[in-house]
Amino acid sequence: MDDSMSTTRALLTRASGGQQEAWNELVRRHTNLLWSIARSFRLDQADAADAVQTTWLRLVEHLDRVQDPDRLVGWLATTVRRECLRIKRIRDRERPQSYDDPPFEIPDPAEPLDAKLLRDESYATLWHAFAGMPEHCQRLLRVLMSSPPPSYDTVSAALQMPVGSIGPTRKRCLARLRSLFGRHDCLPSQAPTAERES
Amino acid sequence: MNDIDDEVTLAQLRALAEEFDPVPELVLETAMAAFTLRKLDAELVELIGDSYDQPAESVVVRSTGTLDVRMLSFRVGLLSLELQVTARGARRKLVAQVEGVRLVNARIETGGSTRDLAYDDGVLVAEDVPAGPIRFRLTTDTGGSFLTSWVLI
Repeated sequence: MDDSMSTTRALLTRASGGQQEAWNELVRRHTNLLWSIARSFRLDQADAADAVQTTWLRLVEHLDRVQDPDRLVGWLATTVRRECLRIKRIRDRERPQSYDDPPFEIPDPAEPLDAKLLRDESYATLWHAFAGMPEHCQRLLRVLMSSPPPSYDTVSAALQMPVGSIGPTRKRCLARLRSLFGRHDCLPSQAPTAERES
Repeated sequence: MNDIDDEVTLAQLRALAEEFDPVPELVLETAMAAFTLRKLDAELVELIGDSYDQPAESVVVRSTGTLDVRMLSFRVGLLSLELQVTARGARRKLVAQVEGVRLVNARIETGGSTRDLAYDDGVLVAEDVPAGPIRFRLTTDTGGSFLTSWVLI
């Protein structure tokens, strides 16, 4: 067991014992992943917020049962995926004529490409390249864009995708993105930073 | 392209997400506040079924225009609660049938509020509930206290 796992175990134990600060730390560590998953399902900001919040409410009520730190992230990913699918069902029913997903929007559909984005043309170019990719690529990459980088087991739980197909799909999608994006060094080259969570 | 290129591209994408699609501060705040809704004095009535988890083709959809019915099942021990959710725009009508216990009190909790529900012969009705996470709190004639799983309606 590495440090992050033992820390997660300690946080779960302390949160289970009623310590708000331990809970807050769990929230800080994992909400980016839950948000990324919700957004990968093309939920708008309000719906993504509801899916994430419902997932945390579920963990609160299951805190005494989810004590295995190895399984916490998978449990969170699976729970938020289910909530996202339910929300999509609700929205589909509200829009019975339209079965097509709205175009993938980053940022929120309510906030069109803003000055911030346009200010940085490279990002805008990358964004347009991203938005031009097939849906399955956008979904996988949006989850992989979460911070810290998720493990393939987590991605598998989030997207119900076999672990073995994640690597090859990722490779194909990134190659496609680069071909749409043009030279991939348009942006300041950044060394891969965070360690993948284990 | 090699793996280094992939890692660089992903790092760029991650920077894009962090800049333009970050977790809203309010999402973090409400997630932290969720902890205060923890109740250790009540037994959890687990969600065991949701008609929205079934593929659309396999469920009988009673849908007319904007009216749509969703069925959810909760259970613990002998207690069961069958919930029917009808959507009308952003509002919901809830009808729940509770079996296996005799109620002396029933309440519905949303993220920010609680209200008592009228019940008759185990049937609870809540009109005009705003869309969002909800749960039921049930008190039985034997002094038992139960909370259903949170569900987003």
